[in-house]
Amino acid sequence: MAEIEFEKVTKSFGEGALAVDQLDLGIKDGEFMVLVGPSGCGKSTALRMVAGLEAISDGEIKIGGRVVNEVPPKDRDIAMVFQNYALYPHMTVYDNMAFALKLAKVDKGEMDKRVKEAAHVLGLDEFLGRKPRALSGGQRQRVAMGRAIVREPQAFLMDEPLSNLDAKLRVQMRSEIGRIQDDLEVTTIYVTHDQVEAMTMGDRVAVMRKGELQQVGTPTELFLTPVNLFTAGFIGSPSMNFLSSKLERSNGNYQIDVGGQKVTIHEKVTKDRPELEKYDGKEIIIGVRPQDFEDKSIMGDDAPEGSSVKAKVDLVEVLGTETLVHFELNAPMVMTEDMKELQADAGGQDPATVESRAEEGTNEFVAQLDPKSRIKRGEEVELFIDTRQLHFFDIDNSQGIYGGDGDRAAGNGNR
Amino acid sequence: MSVASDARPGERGSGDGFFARLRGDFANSERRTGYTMVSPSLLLILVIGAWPVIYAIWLSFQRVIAQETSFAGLDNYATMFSDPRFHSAVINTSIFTVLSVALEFVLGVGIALAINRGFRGQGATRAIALIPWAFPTVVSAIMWRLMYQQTGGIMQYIAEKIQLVSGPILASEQATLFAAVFVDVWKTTPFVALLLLAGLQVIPGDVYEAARVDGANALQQFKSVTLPLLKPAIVVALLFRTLDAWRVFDLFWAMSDRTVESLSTYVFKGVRISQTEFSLGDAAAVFIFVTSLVIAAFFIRGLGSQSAGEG
Amino acid sequence: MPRRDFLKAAGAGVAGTALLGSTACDGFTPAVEGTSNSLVFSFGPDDSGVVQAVIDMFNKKMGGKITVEYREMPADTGQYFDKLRTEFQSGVVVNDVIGADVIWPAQLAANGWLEPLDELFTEEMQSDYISAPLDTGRYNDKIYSVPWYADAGMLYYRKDLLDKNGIKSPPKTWEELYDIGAKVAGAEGLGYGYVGQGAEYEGGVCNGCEFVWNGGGEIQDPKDLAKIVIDSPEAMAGLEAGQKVVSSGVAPVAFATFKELESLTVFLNQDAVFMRNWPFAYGGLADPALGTTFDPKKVYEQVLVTTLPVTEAGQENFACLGGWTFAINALSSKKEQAWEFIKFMITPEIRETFTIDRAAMPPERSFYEDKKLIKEQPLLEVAKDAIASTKPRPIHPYYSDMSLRMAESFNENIKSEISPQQAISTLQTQMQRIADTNVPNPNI
Ligand SMILES: Nc1ncnc2c1ncn2[C@@H]1O[C@H](COP(=O)(O)OP(=O)(O)OP(=O)(O)O)[C@@H](O)[C@H]1O
Ligand SMILES: [Mg+2]
Repeated sequence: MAEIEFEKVTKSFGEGALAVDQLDLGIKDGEFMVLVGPSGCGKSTALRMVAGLEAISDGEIKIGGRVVNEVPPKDRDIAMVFQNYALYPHMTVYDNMAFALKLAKVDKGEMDKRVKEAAHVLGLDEFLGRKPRALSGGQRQRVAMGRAIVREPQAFLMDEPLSNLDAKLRVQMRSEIGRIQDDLEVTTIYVTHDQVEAMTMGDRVAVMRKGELQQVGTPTELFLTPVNLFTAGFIGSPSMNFLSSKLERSNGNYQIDVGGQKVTIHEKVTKDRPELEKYDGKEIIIGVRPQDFEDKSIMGDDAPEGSSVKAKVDLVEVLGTETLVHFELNAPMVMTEDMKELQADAGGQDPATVESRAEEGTNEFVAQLDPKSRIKRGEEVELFIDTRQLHFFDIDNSQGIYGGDGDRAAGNGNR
Repeated sequence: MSVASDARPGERGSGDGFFARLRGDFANSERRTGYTMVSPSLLLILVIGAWPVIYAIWLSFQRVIAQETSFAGLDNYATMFSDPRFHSAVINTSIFTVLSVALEFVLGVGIALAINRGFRGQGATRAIALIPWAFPTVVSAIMWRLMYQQTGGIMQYIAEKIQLVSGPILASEQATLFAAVFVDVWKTTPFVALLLLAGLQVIPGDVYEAARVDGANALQQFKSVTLPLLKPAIVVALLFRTLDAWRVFDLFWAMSDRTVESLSTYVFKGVRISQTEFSLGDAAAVFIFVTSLVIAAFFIRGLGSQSAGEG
Repeated sequence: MPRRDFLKAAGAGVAGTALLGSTACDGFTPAVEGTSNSLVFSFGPDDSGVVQAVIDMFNKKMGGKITVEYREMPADTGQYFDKLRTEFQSGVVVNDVIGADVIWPAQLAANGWLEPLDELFTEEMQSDYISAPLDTGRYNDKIYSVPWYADAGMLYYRKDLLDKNGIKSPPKTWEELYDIGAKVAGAEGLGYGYVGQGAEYEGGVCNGCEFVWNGGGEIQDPKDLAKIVIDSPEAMAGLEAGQKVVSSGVAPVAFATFKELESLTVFLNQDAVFMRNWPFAYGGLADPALGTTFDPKKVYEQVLVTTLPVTEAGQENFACLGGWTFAINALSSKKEQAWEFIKFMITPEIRETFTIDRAAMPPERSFYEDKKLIKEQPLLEVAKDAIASTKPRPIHPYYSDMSLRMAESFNENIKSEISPQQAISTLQTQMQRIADTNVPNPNI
């Protein structure tokens, strides 16, 4: 058991941008840390540097307080689960799991005990004599896990171990891995580009982008107080809706313009984010999570006045536990560079469409409503916006506008 | 009924199973049509492929002198097995085969591993490495014979300088045999290396990473990952090379100027030069054929056990 | 064609190609479709172009009555013979006249493949011929070939170096040759006292036969060709002399790998005192294409030729006969025309053409006395004694088999891997066994 520290760790593959740029990150003993970010952001590279499979260009990595920059993988006492499992095709399941123990000259009886135990925990008892070829994807994945578990290493490193499984199996394995990690209390770094996995599995989540760390924090922190546009857009599903508007004061409260409809912002927001003051009368970017909309018609009368918008519904997705409603508003999006990248990375809407809409001055929004809502496609609907939960970002540097406690909370993530 | 399970290697040997299956197949009209459709080509293969072999075997039990053929029983084989020239042919060919294949294999593995690491100009290196292999054996044999020559032969000069030999290489049968091994190694190592390289390149890289993380050093990785996964390629390379070496002809004939006997030169002398030893040469040809089958069976078993184990 | 002939031919193909898979195999050549008046003459490649020129002369002279076509065979004599045999075995007539090596007529005639020529090639016509070339054509009291040109083993020596070292005349015995060779090579700093052909091949057989004969021995009983008589003290003395080439140090062990060109190269490099070689080497002495280091203007004063030495002074000396003959395919349907062609080829004018333009030594004695011809081709005088002393290699239907055994034993003898005694007793047994093997009876 050990903590793992990245100190200004940089990785360069020669030409091109840095794969990992000055990464500072600490993972506590026994913690489940998820590295998340879009494809190519350097997650795997960071993980592989911990494993020793990739040389460190600059900075230091410490495992259990020891600098391991020059330590070969076999002496790092870590176990890794690969995306394609990397099982030894010519060995049986038993031998796959026992291989590391044999190399470590672990006593035969002890080895046998550990392999059988792990196999039992993973439900692999009956497959011990088979070769990987004769296993299903999920079984192979479990063998890969087993191979890591029997080692009883200082840390588990997992690189998208579930990405080759179908959706249902993925959900099942997700909780299984969580349970095992909980039981063993082994420090774990888990790489994924799936933010749902990140949010559900991680004790803490580190969001990376283009080799740089954006934000570290618990899933809740990331969800509630994203430090910038990127994290805000990347975390959460469906992703956050963005629009730009002038921030105006009216009757002591801030108001924004959402597609020609004035929306008044709750005064609590103003109190929590004193920095907002500076943006009075200026264009800013406003983020609305789909969860913060609601169908006004099912809400009773207690909804405050002025915090709703009317829109025509383009598409309704009834998911059972919730209903997703897509609608268009004349609330233009400012296509900053960050915004474009986010659209491309987060796998949201087609960036070209978003851009052309932005030029026309329209923007598509998604709202996640209570399943009781009976909204139909093509109908005109009035949607309530919980203005207490709005997010604000500087249009020039994409940073979240806080300036209060929230700010500190977000900054804390970095260790 | 599953075709795949029928083809399981473990079941291949059983004759009962085979005939039972054949009967079953003929009961099935679709399969019967299938057999009917392939029978002409089967027949053709039998005539072209098997007939000459059967005929050669038949001839080896005959006494053929000039135009006359009479039954000789096992006489040809008895004469052959007691012929000192045949003994030296077997000994020379065995030494040649074992040495050349072993050296080619070891060097081939080394070269394949080196090329597999990847470096600039890898493609060019691969092409250049194949040049010796592309040469007709007779040409390279004669070329090397010149280099081994007493007068002005560079190899002779070097061998003398490093005191490997004291006399002319080509005047000594032993030295010539080793010289032939050397030429064969020069000529076919690249081929072996490329065969093995192809085998190496299908081994996924992450398996090595897993082994490294699991604590294997370079040697252990080679032993526990590379070798077992390379086994099919190794079997193919060894099979090809062993059979080739076992039938070596041009190299001995042209380079040793027929002083060093191989099984094939023994056959050639009997069949193509001698007028009285045709049957003896033919018997030796059958001997090569049968021993080649044994060698092939040995290696294919090696391959078979591998795939059976994986299945 | 009898069925078994076909079987045998097919069998040769089987054993040769199907199982070996590596033997150099000549592709099947379809029969040359001869029109009624056209003849096919098979012979190896002729770089000099004289053969084709002479054929053209013949064709012109015949004015279309007979046309000869030159069918080029492999340059390697062994391959040529192999191809010829295969063609005969197939029973397809692909030629009418054959240019045959002197060791072939008996081998081909025994199978009934050659036409006996006694009626045409009369005793009278034969009267001027040197006996060895004639003898090679005889089998079972019939003559099957007409000598074309002859080759003989000769001793080339460095007259200049011998003079310089006070040696008046070339050696008459091997003992002398080794002494002089060693002495002169030592004094002049040459690598070789003597070079010849010691490799395991037909040329090595010729050198070996010469050692046996010049020791006073015989290989084949001249009176009974079915009898091998190599196991004699004389033959052993000859092979002892042969072994001494290397063991005495007059030539290095590499001698055992030498063929004609290797020995000539050494000699042209002025690195040897004596050389045993064929007449062709004489022209080579001044041939820059062969890499001679001699001055072409002086070389024929520096290098002279004499007959091969013997074991003991006073013995008769012999040279191995080489060369080519004409024979007629027994299955040819144009034997008369074929004979016309052969007759033309041995007319004195054509013989002279070959002698002058191709340095081919004629098999008839009179040419060696013709002063005018000698002026045009000095080799005639140079080679005269050697040609006169020629002796054929064993004449037997299974000569190829004997040759294989002799090549092996002679080569091993040179390398001292076996003793001369072992060599003769091995050869006595092995060759006698071959000689005793049923000779084919073409009449069946
Ligand atoms: N061996 C390499 N040589 C050169 N560039 C590399 C190498 N490996 C990775 N990179 C680059 O480094 C960057 C980070 O790659 P990395 O594999 O860490 O991405 P990732 O975050 O794991 O992406 P994904 O989710 O697609 O696996 C990418 O731009 C990639 O192209
Ligand atoms: Mg990755």
